[in-house]
Amino acid sequence: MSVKVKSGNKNGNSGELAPTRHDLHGARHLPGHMYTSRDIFDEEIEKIFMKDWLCVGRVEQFPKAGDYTAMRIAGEPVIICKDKKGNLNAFSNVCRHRGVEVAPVGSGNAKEFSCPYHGWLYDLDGTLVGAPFNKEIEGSFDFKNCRLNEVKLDTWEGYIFINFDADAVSLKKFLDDDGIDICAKACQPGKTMISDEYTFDLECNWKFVPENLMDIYHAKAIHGDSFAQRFTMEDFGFEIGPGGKYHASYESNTMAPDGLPLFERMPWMQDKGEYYAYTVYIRPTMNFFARPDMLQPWVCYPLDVNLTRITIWTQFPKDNFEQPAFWERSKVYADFIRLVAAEDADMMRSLQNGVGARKFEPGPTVHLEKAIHHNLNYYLDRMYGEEAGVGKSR
Amino acid sequence: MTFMVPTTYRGTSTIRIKSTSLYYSDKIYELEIEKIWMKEWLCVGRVEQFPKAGDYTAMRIAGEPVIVCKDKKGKLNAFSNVCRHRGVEVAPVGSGNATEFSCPYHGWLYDLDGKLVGAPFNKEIETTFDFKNCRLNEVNIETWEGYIFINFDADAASLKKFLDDPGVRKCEKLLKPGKTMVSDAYTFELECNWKMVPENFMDIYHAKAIHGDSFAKHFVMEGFDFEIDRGGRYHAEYQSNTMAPDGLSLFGPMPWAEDKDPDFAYTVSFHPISTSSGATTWCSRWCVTPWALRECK
Repeated sequence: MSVKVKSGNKNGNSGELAPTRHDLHGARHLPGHMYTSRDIFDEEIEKIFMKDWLCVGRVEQFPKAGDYTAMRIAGEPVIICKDKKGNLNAFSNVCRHRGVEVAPVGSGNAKEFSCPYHGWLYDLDGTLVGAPFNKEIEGSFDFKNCRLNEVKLDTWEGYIFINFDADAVSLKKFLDDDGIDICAKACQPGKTMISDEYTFDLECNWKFVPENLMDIYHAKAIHGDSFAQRFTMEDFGFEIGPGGKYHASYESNTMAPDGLPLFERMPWMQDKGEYYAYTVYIRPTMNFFARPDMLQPWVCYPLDVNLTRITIWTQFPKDNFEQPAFWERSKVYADFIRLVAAEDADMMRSLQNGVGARKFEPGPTVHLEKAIHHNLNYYLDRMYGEEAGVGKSR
Repeated sequence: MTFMVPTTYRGTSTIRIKSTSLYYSDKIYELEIEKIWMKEWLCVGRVEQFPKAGDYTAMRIAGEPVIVCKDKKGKLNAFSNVCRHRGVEVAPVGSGNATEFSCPYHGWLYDLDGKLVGAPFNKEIETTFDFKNCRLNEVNIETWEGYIFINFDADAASLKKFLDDPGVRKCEKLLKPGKTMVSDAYTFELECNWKMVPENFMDIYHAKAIHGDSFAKHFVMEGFDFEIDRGGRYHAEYQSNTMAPDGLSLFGPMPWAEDKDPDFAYTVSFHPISTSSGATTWCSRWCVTPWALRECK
C-alpha cells in the first residue's frame, strides 16, 4: 500500500476540488488523497455511513426466529436478528455493562445473546433480561428498561437496510426521494431470492467500488472476454438523478459464461430484449444490476481507509429454486461473478496504489464516466456543502 | 518522541545501539521514504537485463510504481507506472517485452518511452486535456558500469556527482563491473526493516560467527581497514575466500585482477542503499528496496 498520507483537505474549499466540480466535459477525477487520507475517511464515516440507509442483507437469510448476523460496519458493531414475533431487529452489538460484543462477528441461530465477558443476557430483540448479581445492579441501574441500543431497520423488496442515525428519514422516503422505486417496478427483487452470496475484502478505498461499477468506459477493456462481449458503450443512456443516483437501461450479455442464459426470462421481464440490462445506484454503496434472467446487486462498506468489504448477491425468481438442476445451473452464475469480480479487483487494488503515487494527477473524465462524475459531485456536496470546491468554470 | 538518536552519533567508544523505534516507527519510515528513497539514486538493475527494444521491468519502490524500459532507439527510460487517466499501473509488476503499454483499465496507450499515443475517445479528451504532451511522469535514469540507477527527484544531482567518491573510483579500477555481465539475479523478500540490510553488509563483527563455515574461513577480521567516505559510505580492501564452496574458485581471476592475491576482496557501500563487493574472480552487488516498514526486497 501507499506509504504516504498527504494532509487531508479539511473544508473542501481549496481549489484542488474545482476540477472535479467542473462540468463533465473538461472535469478531472478526485485528487489522490481523497482515497488515502484517514482524516477524510473519518469524516466520510460520520457524514455518510452514520447518516444513510445501508443495505446489509436479504430477508430470506433470516428465515427462523433467532437467526442473526453480527457485523461491524465502519467499526460499529451491529446485530441483525429475527425475534420470536418474526420481526427483524437491528441493535448495537455492545454490551451495556462493559462494551464487549455479545455475539461474535458472524451468522448463526441464537435463543438469546449472552455476553461472553460477564454473562449479561439479552433476548432476541436486544432487551436485557438477566445478569449475575442482577439484584445488586437493579439497586442503582435501570435494569428493566436497559437494552442494546436500537439501530433503525427497514426492508425494501426483500433487502434489509439499517440506519445508525436515530433522526433519519424513513427508508421509503430515502429511496423515493432518489426515485429508486423505478427499480422495484422493473426488476421486482421482492419476488426473488438469493442463490449465492459472495463476500470478499478488497484492499482499496470504498469509493473505488461504486465508481468502478458505474464506469462504462472500462467495460470493454476489462470485461471484453466475459460479460461485455456485447455491451452498449457509445449510446449508453445515463439517467442521472438526486442523491448521486443514476440508472440506465442498456445492452449486455447475461452474467454467465459466453453470455448464455441458463434460465428462462423472469416472468416480469418477458417484454425485454435478449440483451436487456438495467442498473441503478443506491447511495452510498449499493449498485444494483439486472438481466432478463437474474438480479445481481453489489453492496460494500468500509473496513478501513484502504480496505473494503464487498458482497455480491445473485438472485433468481423464487419459483426457479424448485426447477430441476437449479443449484447446478445457479452455480455457473456464482462461479462467473467471481471471475468478473476478480477482473475488477485487480484494477481497484492498482488504483489504490496509483493514486498514492507522489506525482499522481487526476486525469480527465470521459462522457462514459458521466455517472462517476455526477456521483463524485454529490459526494462533495455531502462532504463539504454544495458550493464547496466549485471552480470559476462552473 | 522517546527515542534517543544522539547516542548513535557519539564517538565509537560510547556508541549505543539505535533505539528500536527507528526500525519500528511508521513515522520514521515515512520520513526515510521522503528524505532518502525519494532523493537518492537507487540501483534497480543491469543494462544486460534489457537487451532488446521493449524489454521492461515494472516494480514498486517504497510504494512508487515505476517502469524501466528500453525504447526503440535503444535508450533506457524510467517512468512512473501510473496511468494519467485514473492511476492504474499500465504494466503489472514484473518483467517482459512489450511493443507498447496499454492500461488494462480503460485502454490508454503509451509507447515505450512513456508517451501517451492513444485512448478510446481520444478526440473528446483532446478538447480539454493536453493529450499530445501527456506522458507517464519521467523518472531520472542513468547508468554506471552497467548498473541502472533511477532517481525520483527531478532536481537530483547527476549520478556521476552522486558517485564521485574514492571508494567508487577504486571499484571501477579494481573490479571493472562494466566489463562483467550478470550470470544470476537472486531476489527475495525479507521480513526486516530495510536499514538492517546495508548494516549487515558492512558488519565485519559478524563475519566469522555467521559465515565461518562458508566464505569467511579465510576472512581476516583483525586489522580490517575501513576507509570512511562521505555520505555514510566506506570502502575497504580485505582478505576473504571467493563466494564458492570451500572458497575454491571455479574460474580463473578476472583479467584485470590477475595481479591481486587469490584472497583479495574489496567492498564499497553506496550508503544507504546498496553495496558492491568483489574479489579476483567475481563481483556482486546487493541492493535493497523497502517494501513496508518491516519488509524489504
